[in-house]
Amino acid sequence: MQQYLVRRLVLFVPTLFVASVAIFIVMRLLPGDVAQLILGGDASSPSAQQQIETYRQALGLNDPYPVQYARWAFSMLNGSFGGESLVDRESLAAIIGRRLPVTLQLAVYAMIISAIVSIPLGILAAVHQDRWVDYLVRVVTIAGNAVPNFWIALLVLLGLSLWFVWTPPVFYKNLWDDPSTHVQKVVWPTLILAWGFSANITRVTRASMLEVLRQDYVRTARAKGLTDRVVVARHALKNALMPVITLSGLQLAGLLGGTVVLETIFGLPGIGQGIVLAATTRDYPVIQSLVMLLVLMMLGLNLVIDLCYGIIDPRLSYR
Amino acid sequence: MSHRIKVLSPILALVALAAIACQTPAPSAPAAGGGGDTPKRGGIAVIATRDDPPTNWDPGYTSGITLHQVSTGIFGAGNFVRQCRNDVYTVCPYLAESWEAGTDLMTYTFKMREGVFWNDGTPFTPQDAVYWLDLTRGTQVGDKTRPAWIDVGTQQVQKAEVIDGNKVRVTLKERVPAFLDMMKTATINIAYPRHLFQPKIEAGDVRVGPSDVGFVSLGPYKLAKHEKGSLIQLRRNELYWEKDAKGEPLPYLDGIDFPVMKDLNTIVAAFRTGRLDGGARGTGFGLLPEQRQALDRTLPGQVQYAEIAGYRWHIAWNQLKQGPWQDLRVRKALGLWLDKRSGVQAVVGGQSFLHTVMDPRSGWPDPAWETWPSFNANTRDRDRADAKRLMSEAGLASGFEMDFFCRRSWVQICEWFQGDYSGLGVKLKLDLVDDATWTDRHRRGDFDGQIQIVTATFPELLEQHFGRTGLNAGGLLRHNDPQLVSMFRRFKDAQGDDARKQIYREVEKYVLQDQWYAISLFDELLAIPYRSYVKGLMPGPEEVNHNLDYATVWLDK
Repeated sequence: MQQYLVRRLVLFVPTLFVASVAIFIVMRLLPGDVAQLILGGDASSPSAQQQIETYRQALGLNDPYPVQYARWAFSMLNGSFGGESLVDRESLAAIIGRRLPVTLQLAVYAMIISAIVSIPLGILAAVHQDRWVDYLVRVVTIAGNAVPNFWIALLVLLGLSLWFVWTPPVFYKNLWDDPSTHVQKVVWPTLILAWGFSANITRVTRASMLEVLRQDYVRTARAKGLTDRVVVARHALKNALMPVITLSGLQLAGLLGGTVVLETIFGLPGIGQGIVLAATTRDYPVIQSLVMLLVLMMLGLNLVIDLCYGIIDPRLSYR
Repeated sequence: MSHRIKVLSPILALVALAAIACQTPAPSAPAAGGGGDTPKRGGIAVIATRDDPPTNWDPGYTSGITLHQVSTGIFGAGNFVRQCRNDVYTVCPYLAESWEAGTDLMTYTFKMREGVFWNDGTPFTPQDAVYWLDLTRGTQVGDKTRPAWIDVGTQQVQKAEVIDGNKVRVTLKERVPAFLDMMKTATINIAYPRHLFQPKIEAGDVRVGPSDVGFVSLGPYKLAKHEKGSLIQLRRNELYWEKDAKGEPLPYLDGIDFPVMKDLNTIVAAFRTGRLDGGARGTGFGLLPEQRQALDRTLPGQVQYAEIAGYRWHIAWNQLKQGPWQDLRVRKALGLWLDKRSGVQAVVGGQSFLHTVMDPRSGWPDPAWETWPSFNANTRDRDRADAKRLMSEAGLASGFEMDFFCRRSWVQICEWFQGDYSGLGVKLKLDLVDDATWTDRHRRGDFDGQIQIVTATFPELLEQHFGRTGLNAGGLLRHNDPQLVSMFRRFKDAQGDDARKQIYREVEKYVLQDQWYAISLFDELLAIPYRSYVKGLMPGPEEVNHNLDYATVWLDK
């Protein structure tokens, strides 16, 4: 297993390199740059072009692309995570340190809630296949899949404001600084995210359980006189969880970069919001470093999922 | 049964958690109308802002509302002079208590106010003002990047010097009658404390900005806290010099909390529930008519609106590119056809008004502009018939196709006139782009037709939109018309406001009626909600940055 782990970690290097070159090139293909945005605005002047060039020079944007790439890559490796924002000079370490916990907390909350809710619901639907419980679960999960979360978010805000004269606090606070404000701020985006997140997991759990419940060994277990609860919990569930774990890992990775709209609506200063902001302002170091962070987390999560397979199914070996 | 309860218990727990989370906020303020007119001291106002300020909070780099919504309170609402609090078109003293203009209008001598302090306790001196002027012009350090927009005022300066100990004499490169108008712009702030900037710049940090020196500044508030993406907190600057009419020190408020809120719907919801005392300023953050009606219905008498005009939409055709619009008859047809009043309804729900290049309330536009073709509702049908006839005369009776360049965030207005022009047979292919692409292509003149916001509180500012190509890389028109250039040159020689007014009206008529280079559409009226208990706001009619220092704001709670 150690050998497997080392091999997988080594494989991270070319993947990260290719991803870094790709994001670097894609950003340079987009028209416009941060100097124009900052100095241009809606007004201009006779010397505007000269000023933009001067500013581009100061920001290092006139250097050859290999030099710019090398500078950024070196700063990624030396611990400064890509240098600093071109827009406000905030260090990438500070940006990541500020934004990552917000998104991570949101994603983890959503994952915990959906794990608590969706796996039992999936089992319930499978055990009661084609009965009202199953239909209800399917309706709720299909709605969770089909309805965009930003639309739900707006409805929730509107409903809370109209009927309960309540909206979440306007400031974000960390859990460890102000737990009450934190809970009030994140509870709704968490529930909305968890709904969409758990909809998929519930459906996969249900499908996987249905398949396992039809296996011979489950029938044997029933024939031995075991209760339904024991059959489901001890014999069927563990084997049905493999696809659920895969999906959960992929969804969690998606959540880390895919919460941008909810972050905007609920005023949560997370990673997704940061990437969109950096893209619109052509803040190259920020978007490159945040995307690389997501790539790294995606690789890490995939590795963790693969390692989990072995824990759940001891028959699998790592080579 | 017990099995089902166990299965459902996590869901019930979540519902309970949500219920606990929905704690009711502090009771909202009393209804409007309570209290008198005597300002009350104290209190914290909570006013939304749409984003964190960019570029080290440096007003030398950017003039965006994202910065000035929160920074004007810190830096102050002007420089030597400012827009008057009750009249956006008039110049009032600020850090200079008086001034004298030379007879040739090439020198201005400002007598600097005494008893002004940077908020770290350092006295503000005339030398500080000269240093700031030199820095923004690039003469002091040479390589500190200057903003494009600030050239309008400070780039007219040839030399600045301290005379008689407490005066600053500014010598201009040429005669500039509108110099004080230019300098009164609310976004030109003395935000560079010499005692902190000079050592850093001399050490080579030419990008130093206010955030690098602890926001030491001259305005009525100090920055107390900035949690990026969430909260900007200002607190009273006890050293601020300004006093009200009764001699009471300003500001009245203890402070202002600005939550960073990027979504208008969220702002409206939070405003309704009492989390906010005021909304965010800036395009895209004015209330839609239905949102305003909803607030009036649910909070009767408890809401007031700052109605800020000045976002005057204009369409123009790129005269430096070949196309049917090179033909004056086509341009005129395009101008005559557009039904501006239908646009007011379709785009901004009636929350707007027609205009020419400048706001009618400013006194600059020709008094007869409402009777001009394309502006006059009574000649609508005739204008449209003329448009069809002109297209036929130009050999384009069946219309033509052209690209039209539009910011993605302006899609609603672009789609409206795209639809309106289809009746004339003109097929506009909308080219919707993000801000960075827009800025880049705009500067390069890479478009056939475009829509742009033109804002000016004095006519000389229009040169950046209507001047020759070399002067208006970011402006509205693209042309090589020497006559238009000469009109702006004549501003320099104008003697008094009447002469300036006459030249402005020539420009207005030439661009909109003689050459039909551009089409004035309508003003986007920003309706920003404030609770009625928020007093002393006095936002100007067409200046989104007016009185954003909040020095005179108080809460009648």
